[in-house]
Amino acid sequence: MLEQRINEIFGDEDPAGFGTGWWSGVLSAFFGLLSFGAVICLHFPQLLSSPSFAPITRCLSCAC
Amino acid sequence: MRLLIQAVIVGAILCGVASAMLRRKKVLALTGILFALLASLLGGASVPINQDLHNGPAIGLDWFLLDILMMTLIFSPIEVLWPAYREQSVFRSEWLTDIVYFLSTHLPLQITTFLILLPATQLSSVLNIPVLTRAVGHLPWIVQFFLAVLVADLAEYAIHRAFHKVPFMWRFHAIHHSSKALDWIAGSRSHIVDDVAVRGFILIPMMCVFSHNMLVAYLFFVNIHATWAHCNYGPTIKWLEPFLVQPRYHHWHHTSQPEAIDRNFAIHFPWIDRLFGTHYLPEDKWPDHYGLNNETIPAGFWRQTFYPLTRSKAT
Repeated sequence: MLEQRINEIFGDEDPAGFGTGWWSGVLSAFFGLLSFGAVICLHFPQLLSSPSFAPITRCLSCAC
Repeated sequence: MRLLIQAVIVGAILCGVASAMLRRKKVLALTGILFALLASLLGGASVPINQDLHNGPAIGLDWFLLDILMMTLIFSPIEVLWPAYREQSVFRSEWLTDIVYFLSTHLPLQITTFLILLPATQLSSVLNIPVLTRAVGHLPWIVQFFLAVLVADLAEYAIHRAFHKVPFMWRFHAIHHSSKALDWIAGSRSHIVDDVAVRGFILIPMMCVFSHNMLVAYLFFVNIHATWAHCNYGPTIKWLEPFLVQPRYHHWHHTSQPEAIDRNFAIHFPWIDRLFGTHYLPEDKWPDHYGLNNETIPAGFWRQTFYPLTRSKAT
């Protein structure tokens, strides 16, 4: 299963509490994927931007 | 919004560097840094928008990203700091399935919104009661909001109880109850038919009475409140328990323990369950087990989506 594979690739046996680099790692991967997705949205607004968000996207295009 | 994207890129890199220094296995950190760099290389937050925006079909990726960020920021910290079940990990079993469910309602946003609004828009012209709408419109907004939540919860109670009691409907709703551990994302595990029917049904009486602004306010509230009810969040305000659904109350709805099966249908006001005789909330206790009783449901989004449509095996 995909979930197991992800857990194997990214997980390890080290402790996962605060200060072990686990949280920062998870947050880094999460923020990394989010920012990548967001930039893809900016590149293809017609395809990937919900029409209800169009006003926001229009605002963005004015801002620069 | 561009600032937010910039902040997320910087956050990914900073967290990645911290993690790479602290942890032996660097895959998480490298993934984060790699994607953040890719995002920057592709123009980062300053990508100009050249295309004309239209109202045609689109995939709601932006909505998915924004909502998952918002929900994670609100609910994950409180689950980590004050959990009801300390040993439960953020990445508990079947976490990916629930993320796929979250994706499945957010990406086809136009389709789901259309389907949810369909019964209400079709019927509201027939059922609309202008006198009532005007009378309610004159009330203070806080009273209007309370009434909106009340009407919604009464409708929710009716359709939710039907989803439990009608065997054909239960096959759909059983998927929502198949989670063996609850947290905020477990709340999004719901069959599309279940999701659309419940939301659509609730909107019918609401659209007859309340203004557009009230509906939007309610949708915002139910999104947060229903998600919170599924949270792995321990603290409970005791005096508020009879009046407002808190995580402990809805967790008893999700237990597989026989004493609480088909109890606690309301999602906002526990006293609605008291009124109809379906209230169950033992003092200060949390359930020991969650999930389904005497029923197994296949794992994974697609198999679960087709499951209610397949013939039930004779038992």
